[in-house]
Amino acid sequence: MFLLLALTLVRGLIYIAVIPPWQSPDEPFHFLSAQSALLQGAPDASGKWERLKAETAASLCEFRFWELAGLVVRKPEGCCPEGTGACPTYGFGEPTQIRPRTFTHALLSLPLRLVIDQPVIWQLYWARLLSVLVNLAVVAIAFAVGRLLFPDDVFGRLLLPTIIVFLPQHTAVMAAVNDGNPAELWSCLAIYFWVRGIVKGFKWHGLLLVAVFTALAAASKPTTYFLVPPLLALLIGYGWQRLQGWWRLAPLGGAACLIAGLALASERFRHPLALLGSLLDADGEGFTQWSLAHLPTALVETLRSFWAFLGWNALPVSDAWITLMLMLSALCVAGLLRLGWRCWRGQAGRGPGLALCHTALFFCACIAISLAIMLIVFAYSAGQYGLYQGRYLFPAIIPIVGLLVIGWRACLPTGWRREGLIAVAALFLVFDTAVLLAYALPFFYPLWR
Amino acid sequence: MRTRLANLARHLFWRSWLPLTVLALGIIGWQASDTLLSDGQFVNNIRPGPTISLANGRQLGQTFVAARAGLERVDVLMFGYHRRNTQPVTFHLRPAAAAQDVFSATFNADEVWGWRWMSFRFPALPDSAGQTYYFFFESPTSTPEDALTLGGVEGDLYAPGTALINGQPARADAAFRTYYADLGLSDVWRALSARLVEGKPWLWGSLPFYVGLGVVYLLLVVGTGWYLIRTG
Repeated sequence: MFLLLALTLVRGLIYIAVIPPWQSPDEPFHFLSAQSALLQGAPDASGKWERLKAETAASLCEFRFWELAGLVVRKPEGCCPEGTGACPTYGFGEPTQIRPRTFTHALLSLPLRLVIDQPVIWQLYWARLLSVLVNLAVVAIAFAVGRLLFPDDVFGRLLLPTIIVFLPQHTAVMAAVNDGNPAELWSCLAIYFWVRGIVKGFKWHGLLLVAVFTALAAASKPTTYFLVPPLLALLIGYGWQRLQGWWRLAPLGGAACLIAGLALASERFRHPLALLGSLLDADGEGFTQWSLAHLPTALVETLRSFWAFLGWNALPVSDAWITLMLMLSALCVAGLLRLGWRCWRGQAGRGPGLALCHTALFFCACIAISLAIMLIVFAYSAGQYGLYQGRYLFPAIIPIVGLLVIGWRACLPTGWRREGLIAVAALFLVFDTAVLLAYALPFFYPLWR
Repeated sequence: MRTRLANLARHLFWRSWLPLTVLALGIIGWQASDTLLSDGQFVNNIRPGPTISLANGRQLGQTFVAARAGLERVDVLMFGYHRRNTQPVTFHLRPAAAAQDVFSATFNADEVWGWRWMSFRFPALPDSAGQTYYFFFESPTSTPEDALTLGGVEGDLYAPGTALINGQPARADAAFRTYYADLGLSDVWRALSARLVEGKPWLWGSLPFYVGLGVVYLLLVVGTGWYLIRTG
């Protein structure tokens, strides 16, 4: 595990080095959001805020932000090289709007206090470094999940964290400032306790930990809402089994309290609830037709950008790579079907085999709900394909990669798992090297201009 | 028989996986250095429809500023819609303000089936540095069912120039690369090492840090590979 953690750290440092400042999606916004938490109640907050924005705008100009992110954000007239006054910083418009969007920005602001007197670019790199540490925790959790699921099988146990370590888009996002990173950490912790419960049996304290980490994740970012429906089902089902008489209804109250608490605590949680309400009110026909018409494009965009789409979604890799990844995913589906058939026929055995079937089912549910939520939000946002980004699936990185590993393992003959492990690890190493050397370096560093 | 086949396959795997991985990494390294040697815009995210092809006399092109003296080659990403196209296509290169080509070449569209980088080489232009050039393709006999198109992006990724449709600017950039005489890998290394550290704070502003990071990464990859082989 320590080798994988060391690799994660070094790869994080390399991605911090290669991706120029501000060139990760919404990085200026998230950085300024964390900074805004530092200014709460500070004397001369407005003046400090304006100075910070001016310094950030100058840094955006220095690192040719609009040249590299030109596909997504247009450079306004009068903004660098003429001056920085007209440059937007993609943070808050007015000093009166200073407030962090989620509590995770406030959390990030705590270590930023240590470097508050340094130039803004120092502070950005410091914040990026903290994101890499979050990635270390994610990889460690993936390793722990692998040990739970495959106690006697090196293929599954090592491949699960190895793929996460070498996934280029994931490493790039986790080496940048974004509120999705702590959200992913909470989400991975919730999933760990889910898997632990499935493998070793649920207990009340395990359930409580799943609920706490799900609540923290949901309060951090909407991309983790996929955890909420399974949690509600678990609470109600577990309570129904374990409690007697009228107490059986208590988990229903608990589930209602969880939803109400999240809705009260997080403004962003109310938004999908409202969307869901309007969907139920309407006849749904137009929505269904519209979604079915756009679903293929939206799914393709999501899949493309899940593997590698660096910068502000400006740098897609060749279709050949995406086709290869799709073929590997298809192989995984074949394996999952085989596993499903064995589970259905009761051939998976008791103990680890059955737990693997249940975990695969849970992972499938996570991914399906995550995609469904994205589709609903996408449909109600007038079909902006830009909203359909693979990185929004990263809170479900363990279910996604876990399902890939479970599927491939079911395809491979037992005697070939060692070869399978080496082949997949080598493939991801080559893919990651291609993304770094053949795409990221020439794109971010045009040497002759 | 099955066991013998399985043993043979296993033997082949263990003989070939490392050379194949090293070969793939070598090809990537070569591709990366080739792209770094050039200037231009290599991103392609266009899913072309029939409306933007070279059919019906349409001209598709791009303006660019030559980054150095000695412009000697232009590569352009073209797409043949995965079909057999048959018409002649002409590539023109000229200074932006001039009406005369400095170079032109005609090829048959059947050379392009799917996506393909087409290379156009010409005698080096010694005074190209800083000059604005314009390249475009035309194929007067092409029809919507028998025409090529260009790859690129919708948006503005190449600040010094823009895509042109029938000579009119469009908010897009073609995927193209320009190459210059007398540029070698040592120039790439010097320019890249200067660019990587430029303006960056702390350790990221120091070249030895990058070299050290690369060495540690290589050692860790080899170590992890060795661990996977032994443990697996």
